[in-house]
Amino acid sequence: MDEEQLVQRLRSQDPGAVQEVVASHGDRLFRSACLLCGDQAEAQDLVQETLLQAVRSAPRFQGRSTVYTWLHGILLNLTRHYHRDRKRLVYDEELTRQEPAPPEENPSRLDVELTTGALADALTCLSGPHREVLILRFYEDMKIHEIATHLGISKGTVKSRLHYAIAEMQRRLPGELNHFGACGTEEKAKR
Amino acid sequence: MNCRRFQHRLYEYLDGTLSPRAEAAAETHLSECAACRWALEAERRISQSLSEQLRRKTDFLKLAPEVQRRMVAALAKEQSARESDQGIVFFWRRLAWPLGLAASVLLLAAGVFLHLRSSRQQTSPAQPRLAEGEVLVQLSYVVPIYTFRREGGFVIDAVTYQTNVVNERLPAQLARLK
Repeated sequence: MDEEQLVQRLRSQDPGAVQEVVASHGDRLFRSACLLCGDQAEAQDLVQETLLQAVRSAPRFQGRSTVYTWLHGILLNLTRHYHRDRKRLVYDEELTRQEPAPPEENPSRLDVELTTGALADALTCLSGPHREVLILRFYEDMKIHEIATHLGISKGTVKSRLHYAIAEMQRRLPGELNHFGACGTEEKAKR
Repeated sequence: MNCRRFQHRLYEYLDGTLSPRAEAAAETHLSECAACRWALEAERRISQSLSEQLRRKTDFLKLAPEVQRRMVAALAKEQSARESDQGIVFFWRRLAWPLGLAASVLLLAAGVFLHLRSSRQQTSPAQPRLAEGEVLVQLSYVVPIYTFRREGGFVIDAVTYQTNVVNERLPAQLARLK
């Protein structure tokens, strides 16, 4: 179906259009949200809120980008709020000097897949802006100028964030990413 | 194009978004510089490796079906709330004309009543009731009021006058005597 028609139907809150958007973009958005926030349950809530906001703001969508890029923009904004709220929560917990909550007794296999391993650790260590740029570049396959437009920053800033993020990933994933020596192989040799 | 310039435009070269002229210059530089060829190849491999790893990490993930159900339910709830809001607005909008008209008529009537009352008071001032053999005597007198104020090193005085009126009823015989 034509995207314009789909948006038109979203504006009238047609449940069929909502289902189509979920079917065509839901999984991809969910995977991107998982990479951005690192938590499946939160990612589901973020995607749900993204789609709800999309339906509410459909009358304002001018069709200057694809529907997926528009949805991803909403998701990014919500993810930033999520990170800010989480930081606040950690700070509050520090204030009350409570013991950290024990980990879930039986985390699902999918959660384990997503949140364990060197790649997940390396992603967690990146700051929000660096993670965003990395995911847009290597998961969403966006070009530099598209990332700049999507995030509302300059191409120079995109390149410098990307450069830093890649260097950090190389440092943390020497085995997987360092194909040509340098610091990664040194660390590997030390180990 | 030198190495620094090429490195600066490496991402655009990979994206294929350089202008034809810049791209030709980059190709020429690459044919002459082994270090930049190496950097380009490294960037390609890192890109490919990161993309593959990120996909492998998330390919198995599916959005839970209940998300769609929750969404449809939330939208239906919003829709019904909006409709009930619209119902309230419609109810008040329907009442607005008659209520406005009634309020205008009331205001007009109150205005006319107050106007008539005040004009009646002005045209017929209250007359003191006189007993038989009494006359009304009106006395008026002036009271001078002195004020002093200081302005710099001077004391300035001023005098104003206040007129007082007293209405008194006197027996007619006494009034004639006076």
